[in-house]
Amino acid sequence: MAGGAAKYRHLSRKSSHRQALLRNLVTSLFKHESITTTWPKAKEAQRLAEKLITLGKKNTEASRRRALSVFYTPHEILPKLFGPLRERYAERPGGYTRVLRVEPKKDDQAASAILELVDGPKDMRFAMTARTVARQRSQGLDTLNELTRLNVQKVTQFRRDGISDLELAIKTLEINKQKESKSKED
Amino acid sequence: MVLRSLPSTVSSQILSRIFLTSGTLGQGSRVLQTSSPRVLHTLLKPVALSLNIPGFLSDIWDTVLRAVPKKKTSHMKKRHRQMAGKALKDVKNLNTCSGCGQIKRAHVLCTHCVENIKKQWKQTQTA
Repeated sequence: MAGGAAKYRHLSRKSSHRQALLRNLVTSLFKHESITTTWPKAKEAQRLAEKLITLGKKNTEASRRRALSVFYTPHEILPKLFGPLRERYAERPGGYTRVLRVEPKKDDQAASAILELVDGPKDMRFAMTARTVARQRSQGLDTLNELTRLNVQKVTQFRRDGISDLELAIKTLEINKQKESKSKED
Repeated sequence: MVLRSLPSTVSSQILSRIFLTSGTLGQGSRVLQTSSPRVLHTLLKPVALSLNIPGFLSDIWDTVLRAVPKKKTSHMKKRHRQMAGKALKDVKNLNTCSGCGQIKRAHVLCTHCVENIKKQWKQTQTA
């Protein structure tokens, strides 16, 4: 971009429009735990979301007011941010959100991504890791490869009862698979 | 005045040479030399324009000036020319999904798995 390196993506919008867009995205993210959008928008919304969770962890009157001024539906989201989310991320030193690339959703083939709150009920990497481990076990492979082991660590290290949660997810997957194969046989 | 009159005389000399070569009006140049530069300018314009054309243009009329496309470029030709070198590239960054074993793009989540997981989330929400 002319005038040196940009400090943030302008997203082809003027300041007020961009601000409104990011507020919308972040409000949706905290409401639904996971949103799918274009990759650059996800990365920009990620910055704001991380800052908001930091405000939640600070949990002071000032931080409450600053968070209040960002959300479009603050009375729905503020109790969540200063309640369950603050407790969920109490131990985690940053990195509360995750951006995962997915195949383009928009008809202009713009790069898409999922922006999600880590360790939430809609943690896509958690679900994918569970699937991977389940598949490897079904093939009779006991030792995980390096990448899967890393993913298991990422997904479980700050999650409360992380390992048992993952085992549960793997078990439900296995049960579902058995059901499917049975229905196919019938 | 000396400075002004000097270029006017020079230009009128050049002009008179043109007039002579084109074969018209030797007298006109003599009249113009005596007149002031401004009058010279206004007088000369139409005469010079009408004189220039037949002399050298007729020589190149059959060659350079007629080098014009005979036909309109067809739509196909135009599109072929403009799309040259803009073909779609092959996708080579492929690997297999660790969750389902299907082929997917590297560094991008498998569509099949993502769909399945989202469906599961919906079921658990409603249940």
